[in-house]
Amino acid sequence: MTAYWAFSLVALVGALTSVGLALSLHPLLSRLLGELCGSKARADFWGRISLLWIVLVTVLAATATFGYPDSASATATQTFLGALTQVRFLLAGLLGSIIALAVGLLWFVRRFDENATPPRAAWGRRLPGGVQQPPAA
Amino acid sequence: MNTVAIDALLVTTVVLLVRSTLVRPLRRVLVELCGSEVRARVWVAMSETALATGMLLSAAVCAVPASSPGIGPGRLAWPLRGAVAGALMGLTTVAAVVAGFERRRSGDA
Repeated sequence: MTAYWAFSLVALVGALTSVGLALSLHPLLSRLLGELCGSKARADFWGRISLLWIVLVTVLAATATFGYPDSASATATQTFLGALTQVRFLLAGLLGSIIALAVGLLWFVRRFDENATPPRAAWGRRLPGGVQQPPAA
Repeated sequence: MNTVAIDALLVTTVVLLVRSTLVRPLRRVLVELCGSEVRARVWVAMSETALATGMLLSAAVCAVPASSPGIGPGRLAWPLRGAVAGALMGLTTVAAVVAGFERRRSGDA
Protein backbone atom coordinates (compact mmCIF):
# COMPACT_ATOMS: atom_id res chain seq x y z
CA MET A 1 0.00 0.00 0.00
CA THR A 2 1.47 3.36 -0.96
CA ALA A 3 1.61 6.31 1.41
CA TYR A 4 -1.10 8.05 -0.62
CA TRP A 5 -3.56 5.20 -0.17
CA ALA A 6 -2.81 4.78 3.54
CA PHE A 7 -3.24 8.51 4.06
CA SER A 8 -6.52 8.64 2.12
CA LEU A 9 -7.90 5.61 3.97
CA VAL A 10 -7.18 7.01 7.44
CA ALA A 11 -8.49 10.46 6.45
CA LEU A 12 -11.71 8.88 5.13
CA VAL A 13 -12.14 6.82 8.32
CA GLY A 14 -11.61 9.99 10.37
CA ALA A 15 -14.17 11.95 8.35
CA LEU A 16 -16.76 9.17 8.61
CA THR A 17 -16.14 8.69 12.36
CA SER A 18 -16.56 12.41 13.04
CA VAL A 19 -19.75 12.61 10.98
CA GLY A 20 -21.14 9.54 12.81
CA LEU A 21 -20.26 10.97 16.20
CA ALA A 22 -21.68 14.40 15.35
CA LEU A 23 -24.92 12.87 14.08
CA SER A 24 -25.29 10.66 17.15
CA LEU A 25 -24.76 13.67 19.45
CA HIS A 26 -26.99 16.01 17.46
CA PRO A 27 -30.42 14.99 18.91
CA LEU A 28 -29.13 15.21 22.49
CA LEU A 29 -27.46 18.55 21.84
CA SER A 30 -30.57 19.91 20.15
CA ARG A 31 -32.71 19.11 23.19
CA LEU A 32 -30.22 20.69 25.60
CA LEU A 33 -29.70 23.76 23.42
CA GLY A 34 -33.46 24.15 22.97
CA GLU A 35 -33.72 24.42 26.74
CA LEU A 36 -30.76 26.80 27.07
CA CYS A 37 -31.26 29.09 24.09
CA GLY A 38 -34.97 29.67 24.50
CA SER A 39 -35.84 29.59 20.80
CA LYS A 40 -35.79 26.89 18.13
CA ALA A 41 -33.91 29.05 15.62
CA ARG A 42 -31.04 29.77 18.02
CA ALA A 43 -30.85 26.19 19.23
CA ASP A 44 -30.72 24.96 15.64
CA PHE A 45 -27.98 27.44 14.74
CA TRP A 46 -25.76 26.53 17.70
CA GLY A 47 -26.45 22.82 17.12
CA ARG A 48 -25.20 23.14 13.54
CA ILE A 49 -22.15 25.10 14.68
CA SER A 50 -21.32 22.32 17.16
CA LEU A 51 -21.81 19.66 14.51
CA LEU A 52 -19.53 21.43 12.04
CA TRP A 53 -16.99 22.07 14.80
CA ILE A 54 -16.65 18.35 15.58
CA VAL A 55 -16.40 17.35 11.92
CA LEU A 56 -13.98 20.08 10.83
CA VAL A 57 -11.59 19.77 13.79
CA THR A 58 -11.46 16.00 13.36
CA VAL A 59 -10.89 16.23 9.61
CA LEU A 60 -8.14 18.81 10.17
CA ALA A 61 -6.45 16.46 12.65
CA ALA A 62 -7.07 13.36 10.51
CA THR A 63 -5.27 14.88 7.52
CA ALA A 64 -2.00 15.41 9.38
CA THR A 65 0.87 14.17 7.23
CA PHE A 66 3.63 14.18 9.85
CA GLY A 67 5.40 10.87 9.97
CA TYR A 68 4.93 9.96 6.32
CA PRO A 69 8.10 9.60 4.29
CA ASP A 70 8.54 10.81 0.70
CA SER A 71 6.32 8.49 -1.30
CA ALA A 72 9.16 7.66 -3.69
CA SER A 73 11.37 6.09 -1.04
CA ALA A 74 8.75 4.73 1.39
CA THR A 75 8.97 1.22 2.84
CA ALA A 76 5.92 -0.62 4.20
CA THR A 77 7.06 -0.06 7.79
CA GLN A 78 7.52 3.68 7.25
CA THR A 79 4.08 3.93 5.67
CA PHE A 80 2.56 1.99 8.59
CA LEU A 81 4.26 4.27 11.12
CA GLY A 82 3.06 7.33 9.20
CA ALA A 83 -0.50 5.98 9.23
CA LEU A 84 -0.20 5.26 12.95
CA THR A 85 0.83 8.87 13.61
CA GLN A 86 -2.11 10.01 11.52
CA VAL A 87 -4.50 7.83 13.59
CA ARG A 88 -3.06 9.35 16.77
CA PHE A 89 -3.75 12.84 15.45
CA LEU A 90 -7.24 11.75 14.41
CA LEU A 91 -8.07 10.50 17.91
CA ALA A 92 -6.55 13.58 19.53
CA GLY A 93 -8.64 15.81 17.26
CA LEU A 94 -11.82 13.89 18.01
CA LEU A 95 -11.19 14.01 21.74
CA GLY A 96 -10.13 17.66 21.64
CA SER A 97 -13.25 18.75 19.74
CA ILE A 98 -15.54 16.87 22.16
CA ILE A 99 -13.76 18.28 25.23
CA ALA A 100 -13.88 21.84 23.84
CA LEU A 101 -17.59 21.42 23.14
CA ALA A 102 -18.21 20.02 26.63
CA VAL A 103 -16.35 22.92 28.25
CA GLY A 104 -18.37 25.43 26.21
CA LEU A 105 -21.63 23.70 27.14
CA LEU A 106 -20.66 23.58 30.82
CA TRP A 107 -19.97 27.31 30.78
CA PHE A 108 -23.27 27.97 29.04
CA VAL A 109 -25.26 25.74 31.43
CA ARG A 110 -23.61 27.41 34.41
CA ARG A 111 -24.49 30.87 33.14
CA PHE A 112 -28.06 29.73 32.45
CA ASP A 113 -28.40 28.28 35.96
CA GLU A 114 -26.98 31.43 37.53
CA ASN A 115 -29.52 33.57 35.67
CA ALA A 116 -32.36 31.22 36.65
CA THR A 117 -31.40 30.87 40.33
CA PRO A 118 -33.37 33.07 42.74
CA PRO A 119 -31.24 35.71 44.46
CA ARG A 120 -29.98 35.00 47.95
CA ALA A 121 -30.83 37.03 51.03
CA ALA A 122 -28.07 38.88 52.86
CA TRP A 123 -27.52 35.97 55.28
CA GLY A 124 -27.30 33.48 52.45
CA ARG A 125 -30.71 31.81 52.77
CA ARG A 126 -32.52 31.37 49.47
CA LEU A 127 -35.92 33.05 49.44
CA PRO A 128 -38.96 31.40 47.84
CA GLY A 129 -39.89 32.72 44.40
CA GLY A 130 -36.69 34.69 44.05
CA VAL A 131 -38.03 37.67 46.06
CA GLN A 132 -35.22 39.59 47.72
CA GLN A 133 -36.12 40.42 51.30
CA PRO A 134 -35.30 44.07 52.05
CA PRO A 135 -32.59 44.57 54.65
CA ALA A 136 -33.79 45.25 58.19
CA ALA A 137 -33.85 48.94 59.08
CA MET B 1 -6.78 11.70 -12.13
CA ASN B 2 -4.05 14.03 -10.90
CA THR B 3 -3.82 15.48 -7.42
CA VAL B 4 -4.92 18.97 -8.51
CA ALA B 5 -8.29 17.61 -9.66
CA ILE B 6 -8.70 15.56 -6.46
CA ASP B 7 -7.84 18.62 -4.39
CA ALA B 8 -10.31 20.81 -6.28
CA LEU B 9 -13.00 18.17 -5.66
CA LEU B 10 -12.19 17.88 -1.95
CA VAL B 11 -12.06 21.64 -1.38
CA THR B 12 -15.37 22.11 -3.24
CA THR B 13 -16.91 19.37 -1.09
CA VAL B 14 -15.80 21.12 2.12
CA VAL B 15 -17.15 24.49 0.91
CA LEU B 16 -20.52 22.96 -0.08
CA LEU B 17 -20.76 20.94 3.16
CA VAL B 18 -20.24 24.01 5.33
CA ARG B 19 -22.59 26.11 3.21
CA SER B 20 -25.41 23.56 3.15
CA THR B 21 -25.14 22.86 6.88
CA LEU B 22 -25.00 26.47 8.04
CA VAL B 23 -27.06 28.65 5.73
CA ARG B 24 -30.61 27.71 6.78
CA PRO B 25 -30.09 27.92 10.57
CA LEU B 26 -28.07 31.11 10.10
CA ARG B 27 -30.90 32.69 8.12
CA ARG B 28 -33.47 31.75 10.78
CA VAL B 29 -31.38 33.08 13.65
CA LEU B 30 -30.63 36.28 11.75
CA VAL B 31 -34.32 36.82 10.95
CA GLU B 32 -34.94 36.60 14.69
CA LEU B 33 -32.05 38.91 15.55
CA CYS B 34 -32.35 41.46 12.73
CA GLY B 35 -36.12 41.64 12.92
CA SER B 36 -36.77 41.44 9.17
CA GLU B 37 -36.30 38.91 6.39
CA VAL B 38 -34.72 41.50 4.05
CA ARG B 39 -31.91 42.40 6.47
CA ALA B 40 -31.30 38.76 7.32
CA ARG B 41 -30.96 37.86 3.63
CA VAL B 42 -28.32 40.53 3.10
CA TRP B 43 -26.25 39.33 6.06
CA VAL B 44 -26.63 35.66 5.10
CA ALA B 45 -25.48 36.39 1.55
CA MET B 46 -22.50 38.35 2.86
CA SER B 47 -21.56 35.66 5.38
CA GLU B 48 -21.89 32.96 2.74
CA THR B 49 -19.67 34.83 0.30
CA ALA B 50 -17.08 35.64 2.97
CA LEU B 51 -17.01 32.03 4.22
CA ALA B 52 -16.60 30.53 0.74
CA THR B 53 -13.99 33.10 -0.30
CA GLY B 54 -12.06 32.61 2.93
CA MET B 55 -12.00 28.85 2.52
CA LEU B 56 -10.88 29.05 -1.12
CA LEU B 57 -8.21 31.62 -0.27
CA SER B 58 -6.96 29.48 2.60
CA ALA B 59 -6.85 26.41 0.34
CA ALA B 60 -4.99 28.34 -2.34
CA VAL B 61 -2.45 29.69 0.14
CA CYS B 62 -1.76 26.18 1.45
CA ALA B 63 -1.48 24.55 -1.99
CA VAL B 64 1.93 23.04 -2.69
CA PRO B 65 3.52 23.77 -6.08
CA ALA B 66 3.57 20.68 -8.30
CA SER B 67 7.29 21.19 -8.94
CA SER B 68 8.31 20.86 -5.28
CA PRO B 69 10.31 17.68 -4.61
CA GLY B 70 8.91 14.57 -2.83
CA ILE B 71 6.65 15.50 0.04
CA GLY B 72 4.53 12.34 0.14
CA PRO B 73 0.81 12.71 0.80
CA GLY B 74 1.33 16.34 1.85
CA ARG B 75 0.72 17.48 -1.71
CA LEU B 76 -2.78 15.99 -1.53
CA ALA B 77 -3.47 17.04 2.06
CA TRP B 78 -2.40 20.66 2.35
CA PRO B 79 -5.08 22.36 0.21
CA LEU B 80 -7.74 20.30 2.01
CA ARG B 81 -6.26 21.23 5.39
CA GLY B 82 -6.19 24.85 4.27
CA ALA B 83 -9.88 24.76 3.32
CA VAL B 84 -10.81 23.08 6.62
CA ALA B 85 -8.75 25.57 8.64
CA GLY B 86 -10.38 28.42 6.71
CA ALA B 87 -13.81 26.92 7.41
CA LEU B 88 -13.01 26.69 11.13
CA MET B 89 -11.84 30.31 11.23
CA GLY B 90 -14.93 31.47 9.32
CA LEU B 91 -17.21 29.41 11.55
CA THR B 92 -15.62 30.85 14.68
CA THR B 93 -16.04 34.39 13.32
CA VAL B 94 -19.71 33.83 12.43
CA ALA B 95 -20.35 32.24 15.86
CA ALA B 96 -18.61 35.12 17.67
CA VAL B 97 -20.58 37.75 15.73
CA VAL B 98 -23.92 36.00 16.36
CA ALA B 99 -23.06 35.48 20.06
CA GLY B 100 -22.15 39.17 20.41
CA PHE B 101 -25.34 40.19 18.67
CA GLU B 102 -27.43 37.87 20.88
CA ARG B 103 -25.76 39.25 23.99
CA ARG B 104 -26.43 42.84 22.91
CA ARG B 105 -30.05 42.00 22.14
CA SER B 106 -30.59 40.30 25.49
CA GLY B 107 -28.90 43.30 27.17
CA ASP B 108 -31.27 45.71 25.44
CA ALA B 109 -34.36 43.65 26.34
